[in-house]
Amino acid sequence: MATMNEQPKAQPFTFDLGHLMCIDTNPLPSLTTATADKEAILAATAQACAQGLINQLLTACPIVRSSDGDLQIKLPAPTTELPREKPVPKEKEQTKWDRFALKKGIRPKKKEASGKLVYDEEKGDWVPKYGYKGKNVDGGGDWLVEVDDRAEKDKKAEKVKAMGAVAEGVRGGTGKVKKYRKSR
Amino acid sequence: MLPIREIKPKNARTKRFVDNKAPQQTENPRTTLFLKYTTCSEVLHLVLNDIYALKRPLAIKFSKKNNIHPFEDPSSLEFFSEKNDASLMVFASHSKKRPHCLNLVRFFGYKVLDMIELSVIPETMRTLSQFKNEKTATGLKPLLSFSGSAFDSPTANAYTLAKSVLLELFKGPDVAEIDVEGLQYMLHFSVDEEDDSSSDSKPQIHLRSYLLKTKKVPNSNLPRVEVEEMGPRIDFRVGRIQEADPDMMKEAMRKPKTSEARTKKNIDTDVIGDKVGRIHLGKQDLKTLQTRKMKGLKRSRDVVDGDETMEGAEEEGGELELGGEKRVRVEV
Repeated sequence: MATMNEQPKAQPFTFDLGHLMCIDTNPLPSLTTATADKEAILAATAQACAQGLINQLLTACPIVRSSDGDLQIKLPAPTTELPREKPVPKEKEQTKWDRFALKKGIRPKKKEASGKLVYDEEKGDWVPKYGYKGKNVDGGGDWLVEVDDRAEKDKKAEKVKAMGAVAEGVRGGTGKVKKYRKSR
Repeated sequence: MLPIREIKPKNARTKRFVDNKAPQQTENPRTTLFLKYTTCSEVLHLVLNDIYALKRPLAIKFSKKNNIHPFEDPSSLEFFSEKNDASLMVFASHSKKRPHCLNLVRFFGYKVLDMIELSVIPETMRTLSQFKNEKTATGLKPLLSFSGSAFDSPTANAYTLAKSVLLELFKGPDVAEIDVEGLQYMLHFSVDEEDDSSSDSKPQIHLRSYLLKTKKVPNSNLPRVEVEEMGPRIDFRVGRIQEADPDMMKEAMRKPKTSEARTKKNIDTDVIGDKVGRIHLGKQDLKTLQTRKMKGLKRSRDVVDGDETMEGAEEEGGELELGGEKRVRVEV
């Protein structure tokens, strides 16, 4: 390293935190030396950039702790302008109804006003009366329920009893359960 | 090549596919397509694999060889771009004249926007597998750094184009927040300084990839960062470039109308709290000024004239010359 007087002042790094990018405009020291030294010089330059970037990220951006317990850095919008991949979408032409509704001031009905939401005391929030996550569906649509032997037995007994009662009711019947086969 | 058929969606799934491909306000991250020329060197094959590994899952790799010359006829590349919805391309070719060439192509609206040809220097190339250490998980967003004065030159040159394309290629999807643990690796691009002595050979671009390790420093909140080389080590020599057509570039840099509320200009609140605004009237044409009518002062009051000129011509718009004389008699 030459004496401090001869070295030009190092330019500070510029950052584009939206892209996690660091721009170092300082001219690179001469790399015409042997491979090992060349790599060492590059590694040193990279280390300086990395340090600067991490410092900038941790100081300039707000850090929040997410619900999972991870530390998240809120990045700003990127500053380097890059070209788009596709052209800007064209404005969709308004349909006849859209124009009429705009003129008349008709706006689409909101979810709360549509009458589908019902206040659920337990949850303390509004839930749909039916449909996805609806109030009338219990158990959350359990596709897997454990078999409870006693409950099964009781169900079966009840079923037999019910069938017997029906058979008795039919023409003061025999109490026998007759199975009929559908004629083809 | 036949143009691609327009898909008319017949069910929700295909409609979602078509809508995803269509232009949007906030765009999808660019997908990269990796393909090879009819002749491709071993070095290039390894480089392609390494970059593909870095870019996954937003990358598609073709295995067939393609007889395409990007700088002469890019129509084939445009077809691939449209079919695969890929707006970045890495085309590897090897010939005696241009050995170990990587063409990086950027697309706009499935048409070539700009291209840059970078030749890999085989002697200094090292692959991912040659560095015996742990690698990062796929799909992480890297930190990027560009060193060297050529990247930031005020005039647009090959290096500023290279910086833009390399940034697009390696930056990954744009995110609003990032996990501190996700800051694992850094890609470092550096340009040598241009020596006057060897002005015939352009300076090289060095790509190095480092794993970041942070160590706690006493008396400071900020950690000390240490770098360990992990990834591919590639030195590029800059070749031909094709700069973007200025109209196309202008179109590509257009920003869509943001739906954010724009502050209404011209409205202030004065000291008392009233809302105040300025109404800007246009310039008045003094010739057509409407002044007070003083009927008594009219020239033609006592003498009935043929043409009556009305001041401030509103209804007739100037002098009215009727076929028959319009007689106005005012009884005093």
